[in-house]
Amino acid sequence: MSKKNILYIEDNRDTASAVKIILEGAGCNVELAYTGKTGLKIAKNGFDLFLLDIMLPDMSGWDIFEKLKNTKSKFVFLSVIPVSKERIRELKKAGISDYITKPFVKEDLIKRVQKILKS
Amino acid sequence: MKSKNNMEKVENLLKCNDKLIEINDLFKKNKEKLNYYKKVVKDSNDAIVIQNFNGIVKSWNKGAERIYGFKAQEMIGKNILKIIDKKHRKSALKNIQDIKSGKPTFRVSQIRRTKDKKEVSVWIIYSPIYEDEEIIEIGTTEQDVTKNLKSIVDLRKSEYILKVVTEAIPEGMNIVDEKCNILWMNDNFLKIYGKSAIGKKCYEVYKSYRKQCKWCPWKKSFKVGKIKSLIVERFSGDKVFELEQIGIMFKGKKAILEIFRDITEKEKMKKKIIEEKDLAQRFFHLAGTVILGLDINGRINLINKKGEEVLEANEKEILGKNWFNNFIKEGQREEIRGVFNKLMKRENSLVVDYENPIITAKNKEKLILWHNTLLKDYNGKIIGILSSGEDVTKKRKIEMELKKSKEELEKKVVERTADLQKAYEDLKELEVVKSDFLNMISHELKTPLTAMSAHLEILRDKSFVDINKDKALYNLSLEAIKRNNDQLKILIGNLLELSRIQSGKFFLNISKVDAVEVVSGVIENLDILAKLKGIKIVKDFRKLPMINTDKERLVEIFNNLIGNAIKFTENGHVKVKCQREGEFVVFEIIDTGIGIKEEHLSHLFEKFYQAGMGYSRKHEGVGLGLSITKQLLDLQGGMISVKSVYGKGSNFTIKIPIRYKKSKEYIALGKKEDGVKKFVEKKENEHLNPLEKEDMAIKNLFDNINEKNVFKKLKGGAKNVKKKYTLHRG
Repeated sequence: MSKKNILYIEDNRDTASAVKIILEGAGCNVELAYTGKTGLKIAKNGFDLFLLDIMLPDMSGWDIFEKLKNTKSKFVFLSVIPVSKERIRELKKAGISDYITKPFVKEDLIKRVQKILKS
Repeated sequence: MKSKNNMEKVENLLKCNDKLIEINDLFKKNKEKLNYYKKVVKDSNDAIVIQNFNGIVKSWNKGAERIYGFKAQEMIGKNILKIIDKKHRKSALKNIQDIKSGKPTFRVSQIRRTKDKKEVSVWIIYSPIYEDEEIIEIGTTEQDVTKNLKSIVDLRKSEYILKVVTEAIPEGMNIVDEKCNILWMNDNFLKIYGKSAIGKKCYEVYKSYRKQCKWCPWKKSFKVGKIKSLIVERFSGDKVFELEQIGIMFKGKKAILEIFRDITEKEKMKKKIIEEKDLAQRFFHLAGTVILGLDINGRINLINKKGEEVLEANEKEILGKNWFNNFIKEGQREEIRGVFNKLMKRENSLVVDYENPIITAKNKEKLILWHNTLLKDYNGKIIGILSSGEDVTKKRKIEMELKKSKEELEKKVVERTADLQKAYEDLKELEVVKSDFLNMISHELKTPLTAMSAHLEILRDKSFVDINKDKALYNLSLEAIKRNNDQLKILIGNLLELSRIQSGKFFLNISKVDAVEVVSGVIENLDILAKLKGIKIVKDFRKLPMINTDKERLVEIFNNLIGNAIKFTENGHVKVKCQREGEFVVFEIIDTGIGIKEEHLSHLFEKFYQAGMGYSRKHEGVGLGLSITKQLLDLQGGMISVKSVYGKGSNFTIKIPIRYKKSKEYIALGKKEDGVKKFVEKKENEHLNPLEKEDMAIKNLFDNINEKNVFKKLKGGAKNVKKKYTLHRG
């Protein structure tokens, strides 16, 4: 199985680097972008999964999803904002594969990302 | 002896002679006397009759002949009863017997008959006739009183008439002579006085203190026919009399006829009428309404005190004037006069209540409500109008004001409702803002925490990092942890500071501070940072006086402002200027940094505002610095302002008072919550996606924070923060 490509758009560089280390340790290829603008630029290369922070300096994770949802890629939100299960269900209907709240547990992150990438 | 005897004889003869002469004289005298008596008896006009105890007439003089018509020879030797009326015979016999038995002289009246069988009334004096002290016969002197009796009867009759007349006259009457003696009075006077006043002095009767009543004309004149009319009180209880005095002749002498008319009731009535009139007059003037009378031509013929007051003129100036010409506004004169004239001609019916404006003598306009009554004479002819007018100027004004204030009130209610609605919306918004704030804190706390926890996990997991092999990676994680840890420390420090300020447990430690020294110290510390970025810090200082302020806070303020300037400047310089401006020292921190977009300027001093501006991630701190700076300045009566051109740089100016004065903000600290304002404009929220607006999410977030006791470290804990939490705007 070829390595899955993930683009993580996150303005906190330290969080971004940690996620890159963790997911690459789990066998994925992780690219990073610190702003929405840069992220959208890199996204053109094609990714299996977009990990999106919600509150970015220049735009929101939702804006990025709106722009990229017509691709075959999968989308996961990584946010400090906890939301209800109901809301997550709605998000899933809208095309968001998962919603992971920060701070996260490393194993949980790996498990959920792998699950999405397999499906 | 013989001679002696002769002498004696002569002497005796002489004595006898003398005696004889004496007796002769006495006899002579007696004879003269007797003749005189005889003559008197004979010539007397009265009848002198002598009778014995049997009534046999012994002597009958000429008087008797004249009265009875019988001659002496016809009567002497006859019984006196012959001329006595049968009805009186018995009593006549009794009179004879009375004399016989020794009764002294007495007088009786008898009816006797003359020779012509005429009745005569006689007064008879019965006297006994003595001889040797023995009553031998009876003498009577008889007087014909027939005529006298008639005059007496006439007198009695006239007295009776007088009595009847005087009784018929209700007045009390008396007659007083010149010596103040009351000669006569009538029964009514008797009734008034209560007893007989005849013979008394008039001034006694009238209870005068002096011998002349002061009202009496006695002294001045006593002319007959003169009438004087007076009022007399006091002499008979509470009664009041009208006294008329008329000079008359009474029994040939001047006198005064006094006629007393009891006018007590009349006086009472008069008094009562006067009182009532007075009362009516008083009511008329006391009346709280204008009372105005107009004659048929509209001339004023009656006005009361209130009327004078309302018309602002006195009675003299009002009475007789034409109402319409003087007290009605020119434009309305014809109309009102028309109504009045038609009314006087009965062409229209009376408008009982009529409200119209008037013009007073002082040219003031007043509004009067009239209640009108038509005045008519005995024949029902209209003679004018009587109106009572109420000055309703104030009343109408108050009504207007009431109406106005009612309208205002209604308007206010509407406004207040709108205000309430707005307040409600503000509150709702505040909830959003509060949640936003907590959301923001949560975000700001969780972001470095996420980085830290993730790197910590990496470090703990040997499958990722082998300390010995991947030194670089290991250091990367450690550095990341330290960086985020520092950021957390700053954030928590700022939050504590804000919390202290807002919970009222914040104190300024005021002392004399050399501001230039402080700012120089701050610049020195930050210089390394500036140098790292290749920025120069330029100082442009003027001499400043010592200021009263909290030195540590001042350091904090300069750290925030100069630190920010360095943070947001990539090229160029940061310039710090200072100078004195009146009672203030002024510092300007000018940078050539990225500047601030105009729309952000007004929100710049709101908490976390920076976070929403889009460049926080690049710089440490999350935008609490400016908010804290502003509040620190506010607390000591200072101020902060900002000018900025986006892309070219910013200019922050702070003013600090030289003499510290407790600011309103400082005094208000802890006392009350400040005005609730949002720190992020709603507009700013609008761009947020539905996810972020998610109510449940916000609620969960809040609960989450609460559970985790994140705020417990802040003064008062989460609850207190929630309660005390206020937001400031620039």
